[in-house]
Amino acid sequence: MTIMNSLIRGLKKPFLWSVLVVLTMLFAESFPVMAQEARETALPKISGTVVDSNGNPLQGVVVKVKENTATVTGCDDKGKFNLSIPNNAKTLVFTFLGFKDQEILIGRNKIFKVVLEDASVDLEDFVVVGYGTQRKATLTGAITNVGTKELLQSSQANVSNALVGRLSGLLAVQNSGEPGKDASTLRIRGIGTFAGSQDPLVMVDGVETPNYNTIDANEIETISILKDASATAVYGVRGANGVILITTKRGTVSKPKVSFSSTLAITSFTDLRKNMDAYDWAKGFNDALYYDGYLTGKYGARYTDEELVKFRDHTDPLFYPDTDWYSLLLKKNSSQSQNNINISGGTEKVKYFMSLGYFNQDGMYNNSGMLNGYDSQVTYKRYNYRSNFDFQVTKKLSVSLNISNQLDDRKAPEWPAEGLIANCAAQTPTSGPGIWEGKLIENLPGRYTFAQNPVISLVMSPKIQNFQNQFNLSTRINYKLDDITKGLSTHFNISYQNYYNEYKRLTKSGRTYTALFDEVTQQGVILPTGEETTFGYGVSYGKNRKIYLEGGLDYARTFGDHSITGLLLYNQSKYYDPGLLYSVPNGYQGLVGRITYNYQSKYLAEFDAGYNGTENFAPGKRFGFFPAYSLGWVVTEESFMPKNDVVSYLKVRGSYGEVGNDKIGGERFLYRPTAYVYDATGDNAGASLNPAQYWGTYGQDMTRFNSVSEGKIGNPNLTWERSAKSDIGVDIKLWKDKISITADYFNEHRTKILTNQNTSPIIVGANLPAYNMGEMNNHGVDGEINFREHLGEFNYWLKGIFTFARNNIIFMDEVPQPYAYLQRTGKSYNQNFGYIAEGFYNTWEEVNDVNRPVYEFQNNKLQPGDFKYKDVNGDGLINSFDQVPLGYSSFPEISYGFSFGGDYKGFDFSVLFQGSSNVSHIASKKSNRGFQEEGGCVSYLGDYSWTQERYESGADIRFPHLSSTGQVSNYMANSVWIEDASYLRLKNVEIGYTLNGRFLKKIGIQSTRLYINGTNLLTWDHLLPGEDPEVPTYNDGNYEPYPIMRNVNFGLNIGF
Amino acid sequence: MKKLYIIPIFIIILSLNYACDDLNNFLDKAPGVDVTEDTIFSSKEQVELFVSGTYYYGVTSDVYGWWDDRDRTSMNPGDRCDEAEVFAPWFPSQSVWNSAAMSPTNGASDLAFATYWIALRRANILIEKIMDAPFDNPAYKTQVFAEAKFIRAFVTFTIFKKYGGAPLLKKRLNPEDQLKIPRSTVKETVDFIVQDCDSAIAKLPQTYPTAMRGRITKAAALALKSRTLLYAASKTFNTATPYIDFGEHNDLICYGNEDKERWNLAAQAAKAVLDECPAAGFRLITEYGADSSYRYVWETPDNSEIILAEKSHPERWQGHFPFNYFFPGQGLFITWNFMKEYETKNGEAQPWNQEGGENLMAIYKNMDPRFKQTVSYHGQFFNVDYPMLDLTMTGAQRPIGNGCHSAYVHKTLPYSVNNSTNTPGMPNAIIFRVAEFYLNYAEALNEYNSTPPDAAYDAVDVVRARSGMPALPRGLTQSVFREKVRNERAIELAYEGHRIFDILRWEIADDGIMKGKMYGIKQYKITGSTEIRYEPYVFEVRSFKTAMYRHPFPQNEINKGYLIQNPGY
Repeated sequence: MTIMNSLIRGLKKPFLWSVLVVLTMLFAESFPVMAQEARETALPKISGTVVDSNGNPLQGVVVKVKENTATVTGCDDKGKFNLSIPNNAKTLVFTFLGFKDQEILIGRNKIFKVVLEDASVDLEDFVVVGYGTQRKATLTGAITNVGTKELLQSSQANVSNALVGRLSGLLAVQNSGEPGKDASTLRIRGIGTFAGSQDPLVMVDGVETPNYNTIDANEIETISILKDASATAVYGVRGANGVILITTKRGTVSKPKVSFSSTLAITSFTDLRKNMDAYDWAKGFNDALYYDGYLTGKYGARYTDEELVKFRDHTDPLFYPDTDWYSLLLKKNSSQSQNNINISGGTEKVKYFMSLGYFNQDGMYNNSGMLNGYDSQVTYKRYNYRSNFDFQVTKKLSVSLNISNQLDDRKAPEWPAEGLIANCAAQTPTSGPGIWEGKLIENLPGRYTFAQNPVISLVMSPKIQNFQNQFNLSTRINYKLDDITKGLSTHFNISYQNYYNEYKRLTKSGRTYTALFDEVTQQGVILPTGEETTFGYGVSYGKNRKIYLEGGLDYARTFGDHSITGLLLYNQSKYYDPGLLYSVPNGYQGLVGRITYNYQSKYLAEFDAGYNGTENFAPGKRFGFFPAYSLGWVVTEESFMPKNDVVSYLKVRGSYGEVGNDKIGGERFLYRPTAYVYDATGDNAGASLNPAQYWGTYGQDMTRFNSVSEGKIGNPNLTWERSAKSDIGVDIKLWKDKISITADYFNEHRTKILTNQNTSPIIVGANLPAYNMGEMNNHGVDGEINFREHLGEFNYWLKGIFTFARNNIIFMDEVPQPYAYLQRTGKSYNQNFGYIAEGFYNTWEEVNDVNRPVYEFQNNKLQPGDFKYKDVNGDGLINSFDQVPLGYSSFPEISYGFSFGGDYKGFDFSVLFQGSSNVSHIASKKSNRGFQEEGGCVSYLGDYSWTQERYESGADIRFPHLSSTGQVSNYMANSVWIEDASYLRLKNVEIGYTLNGRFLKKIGIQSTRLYINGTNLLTWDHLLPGEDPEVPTYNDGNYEPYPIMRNVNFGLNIGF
Repeated sequence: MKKLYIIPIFIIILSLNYACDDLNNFLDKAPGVDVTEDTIFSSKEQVELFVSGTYYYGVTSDVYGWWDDRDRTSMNPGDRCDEAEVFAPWFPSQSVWNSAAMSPTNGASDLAFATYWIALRRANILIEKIMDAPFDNPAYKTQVFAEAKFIRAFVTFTIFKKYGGAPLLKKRLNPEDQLKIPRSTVKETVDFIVQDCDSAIAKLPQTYPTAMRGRITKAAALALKSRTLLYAASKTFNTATPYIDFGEHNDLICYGNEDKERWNLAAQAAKAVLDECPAAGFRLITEYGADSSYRYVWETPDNSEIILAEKSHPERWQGHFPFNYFFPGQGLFITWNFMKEYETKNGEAQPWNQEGGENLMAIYKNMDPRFKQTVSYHGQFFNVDYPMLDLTMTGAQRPIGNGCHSAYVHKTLPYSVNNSTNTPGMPNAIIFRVAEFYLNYAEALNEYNSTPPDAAYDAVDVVRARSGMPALPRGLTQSVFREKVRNERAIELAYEGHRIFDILRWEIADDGIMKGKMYGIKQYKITGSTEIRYEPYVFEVRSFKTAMYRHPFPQNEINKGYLIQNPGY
């Protein structure tokens, strides 16, 4: 550590930097010579040329003798190689990144001409790792990846959703299906911390890019997720939550290839609640009032029998309406389309990939067009552009230039979709006709209901137009320093990201009407209540930018049986955003080191380290050193393992290391001494006040006196949250590589989690600092199995992935609870707690039994049809001490995916099933109680709620008696309302056909593929109807999720 | 070509030089701590900012309960006792009190609990720092010191009246200190408050310039002392047998003995307020006549009767005055139980009939003039939007939803406030006003002496006379006088946050007051007459458990192991 510290201090001097770089080069100069001399012997010489499929010579191809891997050379800039081969040499192996390995028998040949096949379609041998790529065969870290083909299959608006069910170790929860807001929350190997950010770090082409979701999937070559310490240590401070690496496509040496793809999807909700119709509702409401009467001491039916008849007969649809608000507000179907055209190719000197994409997604509102010139629909449009260039300036100097831009344009009502959907649920079918003769009708007078007509809400809501642009420019220079020592190269990377956001808000109110009954004519009269107003307009802007710099030395060299690679890298980034605290930019600084070693590709070792600093901590606590060690053993390379077709590859690997997290609690500069904060200086027009006084005499000389408050007390010792991760994994290939299996056990121990001092008494009256004292464990397994086979021309494959991650809070300074089971410590993060419902009180005898426990709420007034709760602590009272851990948290512990597919001649198909378990949702207010504030009610409550008759007839009773007040006792979190949210979903099905006709060739088309696919087609779960297992419920009664979408997608790919 | 490697090396060195330029402080851009405690105590202007915020947390009235971080919707506005019913059944004050749901785990029991300690911390910082602050203004420093002492006493009194013996915060707590301060006894708590009051009384100015109206005066500190000693002398504290026997911890909820001398101290303290008032410019408002003076006092901010008010409110619009947002139909309603407390203009009981009657308007007409200045009943003006209320069962302004049929409580909502002309009003959040101290004095004198002395009658009569009510008949027994003075308090101080705590300190949470049947009156038009038929009905059956004579400390604090919970929770 002290060495690192003095090193970093040294590095702060520009002069020392220069000296260091030069010295490294000079030192390296001397030792390759010795290595080369050691191998000077007189052996048979062979030579040859290596070219790609277009005949272009390939520089840098590694040529080695399979029987003696120490005999190795590389091709020069003309693709030529010369090699002296030992006597036992029989086979030459040619390897080159981006191309398939090739083996050639030497025989008596002396001169070889070798054509390497482009491996761009099959990069499986390589994986992208932090700051580089590594061969899968010699990898020791836990990394998994997914390619472009699978990503495109999901026809999802954003990258995060497309990953669901595709990658082991990845857990996802989607919060909404609303266009432009439907990204998933991703967790790599579950949740490791209870404070601060749990989000993984996302890097696109080596640059941190938090809003990766808007990248066009057509631009992506591969996505890797880095899971263990060995893979993530190089990211030091930000790697603790795992890392997602996205690599975009690049050009290869070829003629220009143009690819055009277009898809059109029909979208619909996976599920939607169904509310009671007017008659059932009015009758149910009378019942609910009846039961409430016992508590309130008053009962009167709200609707008379005559009124009930009118609701049922639909004879007076204006004043006795039966409105289905869901179908009034929402459409059955909408559409989504995606188009992309890209061109790629290149020569030895210049390679290019350019892509242009357009994505369009429409929402599900029934756009009634009630307001002229105004569209209330949610629409999301995205324009993607990317161009990646690679220039080979000289043999040694290459330059890459990446330019990309994501522009999205979202239009939506300002009312959140969750509010509008909740309004549909809250609105009673009797409250009004909604729309009458094309007019927006307000709730009928006297028909009190909690919510506004949702169509009015939609039309009246201000419209927002949110335009966002994300521009990225990055340049990378690679320079080979083989002159200094062979295998050494240096690179430098600078990247600039610019984000711009324009938020326009248009306000205009439409005309609304009320319906009144005219006593004289005995007819309904429609009278206007609100005038159409003129446009209002407001606009606000947001922007930020980030500059990232990276410079490093890379080294890769093989000495006989020993292969070594090394990496030493410096990076820094600065993020500027006017919204940041004190407008101070956010800076990071780090040194990264990596050494890998392997002996005959058999014994593998790797050491990684990150040494990183962040301004969030005090000088002295600022830099953290994060080492990781890993070892691997490729058992099948051992001589005692005979070559066989059953176990063709077996690798055992393990890693241990530490990674950090500085995103602790979202606040910055917590280390500084206590600062005083001036309170807001304006009057607060709302129901709350800012601290201030209005001294003086009202009407004469009263003035506002502003205030200052003591801020959070400083904690000068604030430092990194640290995560110690260990991983044991195995990679197996069986039956001639037809089956490949990867499985990992992992364990993560987080310490120094920033934790509030919960046990400090409130009487201190101060905002006490948080300390690095929390502790949490997270462990589990993940794995993947692949199988590929063919029957004649029928190729097929199967794939399964599995992830299990369970966390456990070890310490969070929790206040001791009177009973151990109430303690949150020792449980999973966000574990659900609730009462144990043991059926219902069915008779007055049961209710009046003096031995039944006393309910501390509702003044102990119970009646038949109420939940019977278990008195867990046996104190004769039902109160918060009887809440026990129930179910799981709302984030799944288990996620799995199972997919298969195949192709036969031109046909291909694939199917993906995906599921989660060990997850619980709490039934929302809208799904477990009706009539709240005289609101609407889901129909199943009418069918399965407790009533005297239903109890006596022995019917299926699942819910307590109806209620209009939501009496506390029946609707507290309990074993009925905490639902098992496990599910299995038919996530994706695709069928395609590829045309390869001569006619097409004639008009210049290389290939055409037509396909149809479907997403979220079928679901099996245990939830209440209308709840989606992927979308957690809102416990706030004012919101309901916008359900996620089922897409049926028609697509076309044309390659020119 | 070979020398081309110079290019990238050059670029790298160049950019590293760029990077290194600010490498030394690359991560060191955190702003200096501009505003520390030393800054705050560097000048009068800065101290004033801190004093302002300390008033915000510490000088609070229960009259308005807004949803800011001092949320007092659990204390206000009368719906947790017999004074009123709010249309919203979930409203924290009535939802916890009226169903006896007060519990350590029910956060709504005292929503402002956390802010007491913020206020005390701020007061302690002022006490600790102000005298040694490095600026020269001894008079100002002494004043702030005394204001801080008052605030510390006032907040401690608020805790005391709710919880009994409190943890006494005599200095600011730092993270390294012993933070777990246990509760002190009732006696220690009262002594601490009185000691702080005495210290403040000695140092506070008698008056301020009008532009500083709202600052704590000597009279305010005397008023706090009077109220504290009145509470301390009251039955619930001044006893050997508390409402629930708490064994060895009895001294946390009461004195542990009954001492009549405490009433004497209370009487003297009330007298001291009344003696101080004339010189300080505080007096009963009488000049607007019997039909308007009372309303003027509660409606007009900064009038001469107000000794101290909460001054943290700017003008507010109708939607921001609690309980009137959904008008008509929903708001705050007086109960029939409380209506019956109002005497006739002649000082007699009203001829209410449990079975109802056809003379409602006649009864209203003959009510104590303060009734009309407190509520808006059928046929009355509410505001310009509703100039004449129709509260009959078919009337447009009758309560809908969960109200109680009776009359709207108007007190605390200025009559000028309305929606249609969008006129704001100034909340008048009274903490101490002169009338209270006449009644404190009368109550204490009556309890101290075996028969009420003349001074006690005189004190009550002054208050009654202002509203045109006749003097009390002389020669009453101690217990009859007690009932009279309690009734007078209920009427005069209605909806100002007194009633609930009076009920608790007198321990009279009986049927019809805090529990049992609560009545409204349904009103019907009588054809061919302006009279209204009324019909009492039970709008709610309320509950009260004895433990509620003290608030429960939050369970979370109990679990931390430094507080003893009040009995019954």
